[in-house]
Amino acid sequence: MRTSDLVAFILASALFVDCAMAATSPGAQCEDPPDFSQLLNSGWGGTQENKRFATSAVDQSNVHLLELQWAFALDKNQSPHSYPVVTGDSLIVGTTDGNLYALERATGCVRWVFEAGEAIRSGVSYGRIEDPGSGTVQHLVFFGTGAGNVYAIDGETGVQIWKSDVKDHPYAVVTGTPTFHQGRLFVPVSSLEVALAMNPFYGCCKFRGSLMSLDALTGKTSWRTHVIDQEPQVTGRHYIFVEEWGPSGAPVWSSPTVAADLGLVFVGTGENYTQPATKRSDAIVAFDIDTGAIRWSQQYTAEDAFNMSCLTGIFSANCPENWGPDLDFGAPPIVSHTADGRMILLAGQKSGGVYGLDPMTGERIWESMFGRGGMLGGVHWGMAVNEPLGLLFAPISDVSSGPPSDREQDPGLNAVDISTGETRWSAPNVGECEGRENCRPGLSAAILATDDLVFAGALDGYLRAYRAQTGEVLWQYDTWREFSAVNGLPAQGGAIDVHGPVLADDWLFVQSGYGSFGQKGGNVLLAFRVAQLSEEATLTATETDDE
Amino acid sequence: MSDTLASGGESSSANAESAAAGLRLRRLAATVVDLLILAPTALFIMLATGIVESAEAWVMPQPLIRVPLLIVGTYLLLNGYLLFTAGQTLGKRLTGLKIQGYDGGSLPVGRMLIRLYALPLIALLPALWLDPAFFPGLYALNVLFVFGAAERCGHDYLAGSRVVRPSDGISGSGR
Repeated sequence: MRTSDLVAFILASALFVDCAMAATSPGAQCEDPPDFSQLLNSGWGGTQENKRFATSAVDQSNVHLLELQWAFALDKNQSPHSYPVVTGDSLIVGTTDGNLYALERATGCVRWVFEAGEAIRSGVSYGRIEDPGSGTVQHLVFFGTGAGNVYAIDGETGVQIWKSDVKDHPYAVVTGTPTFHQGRLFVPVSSLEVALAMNPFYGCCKFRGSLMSLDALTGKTSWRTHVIDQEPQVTGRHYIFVEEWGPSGAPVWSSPTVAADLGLVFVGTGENYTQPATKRSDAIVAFDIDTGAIRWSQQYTAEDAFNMSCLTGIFSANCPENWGPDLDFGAPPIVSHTADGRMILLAGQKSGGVYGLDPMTGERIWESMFGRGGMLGGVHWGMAVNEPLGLLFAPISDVSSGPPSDREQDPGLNAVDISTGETRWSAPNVGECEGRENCRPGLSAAILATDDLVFAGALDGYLRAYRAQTGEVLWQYDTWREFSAVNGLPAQGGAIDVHGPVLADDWLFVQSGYGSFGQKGGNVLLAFRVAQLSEEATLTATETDDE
Repeated sequence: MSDTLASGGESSSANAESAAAGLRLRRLAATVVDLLILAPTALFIMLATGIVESAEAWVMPQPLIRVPLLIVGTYLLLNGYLLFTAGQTLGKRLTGLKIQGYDGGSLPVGRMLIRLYALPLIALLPALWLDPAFFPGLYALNVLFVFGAAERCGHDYLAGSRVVRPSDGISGSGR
């Protein structure tokens, strides 16, 4: 090699390395660690009751003043899948590329990054743990991954405290956000075996959904209870003679809901993957908080045995006979109260069914149905409540999927009386899909309620604020576009799905671009703030500086 | 006279093209026969050993190890003896074909192994680290070489081999 060629090669290599580093740079760095003295959102539902209710400075009088403040590119994967812990000055959120970011709330600059190296599939929960001996306090954040691990990270430094492998099956994943309660971490375990079943050479299926209780300080398992009691057995061989196994399935996709007063933890479960079907699939299940013993379960769709091989035509060897409609409970149950102060458990199913249950017995108190339901909802990721108004808000996805139905598709937002289940109002969403490929009108993502508003992101990419009393749309923002991200990476919005919006003070955050199920992918985290309030805050800060 | 010669030359050329097409068809038939025997045998071995029936078998990189292992193992079980002693697979034996060195001699074991596995290994590396689509893509390219004038697949060039039809004295190269 000639000297000039060697110099050119070295320069080109240096340029490549420089460009590569620029492409993965996390953006500006902020020196200060997150301050946990003011915790504004933790876990999937804001509280361990999963109410998805936030007290916020954003209300009907100023919601129209919400303006985009910054955008952050959540790495490169086109299906962001996390929900942040929000404090007075920070936001801690994961990416499906495997990074956990602590961002400055006001600017999106990076305080620290923890590289898990595996897809972060759950939201992030916060736990404050005090050492009774030394009195030292640890601010831990927890999340689950696609590799079936749960992590505890020091929230101030981003350093790993522990990592716990909760897999009892190679395809087990943690999708539901772990729920922190008094030094314990309740972890739901689901699996992607439902997709592995598409491989006809795989002996399907052996996974059983479970709920675990971990010591939040050490990650050690206190208990694990499988939703299905029986170990899977060989039940036969399919047409290329591969073994069939069952019972299986009943994954726990959603975040556990804690009713501390009752000593119970509630989860929703998914369908059976194979025959024989069991009694605790597509059910709401109550576990003893201390022992994990199942106190009761209430099934809503019986004989629902389904896996994704059923959708693959000639590769459907692993599809169970008389396959079911795949009507999981993807949304966590909500512990709430009726107008007369009775505790009630609220649940929404992919069938479009919304239910009020007695949390002590599981007995069904009322039931309402919305839309046609299907494999992608119905109620898909989550509902919200406003107890002062006595309302449960149920978003309906109604993406056309699953077996034929004589019910009409009716995507949109619905308000239901918590006490009776009667519909107070419905706000259909026709969708803004003109000129957009893979656009759907449904509300699949979990929603959020405030004192007088409901925030819902839609599969058409719009984030909307509804008047809580009537369903009137008061504000909307189109996220289906490119954004200029503060961390310098390409940022694209698309379908809003999965965890949905979060509010903190006068800030509103949402992730856009969920590319699964053929939807419009993207990778952006957006931060909005009420313009008037931010100007006042700036003015106050200036005045303080002048003094 | 010149007309006769010209005519004889065209006839010879046509015969050569016809023979080449026949050889390619025989190679295709031999491959089909080999696959028809390989598939059920591999399925039987798979069921007997359970090598790919478990979930562990489908956690990366296990499928990229176990599936090739199953196929290669079965292939060798069926064809190993014939390949290394007579330069034939079952399919080639049935269709009257034989693998030999480009120089006309029998193909040494080392070069036979190169012929069998060099290409899968070359294809496997990018398939492991970049994209599994490289594997079938490279194999398609390998097969397309047979339509060249020498009628040799990519693996023949790698191993210095050619496929011949001993009974007719027709070879896949050298013309």
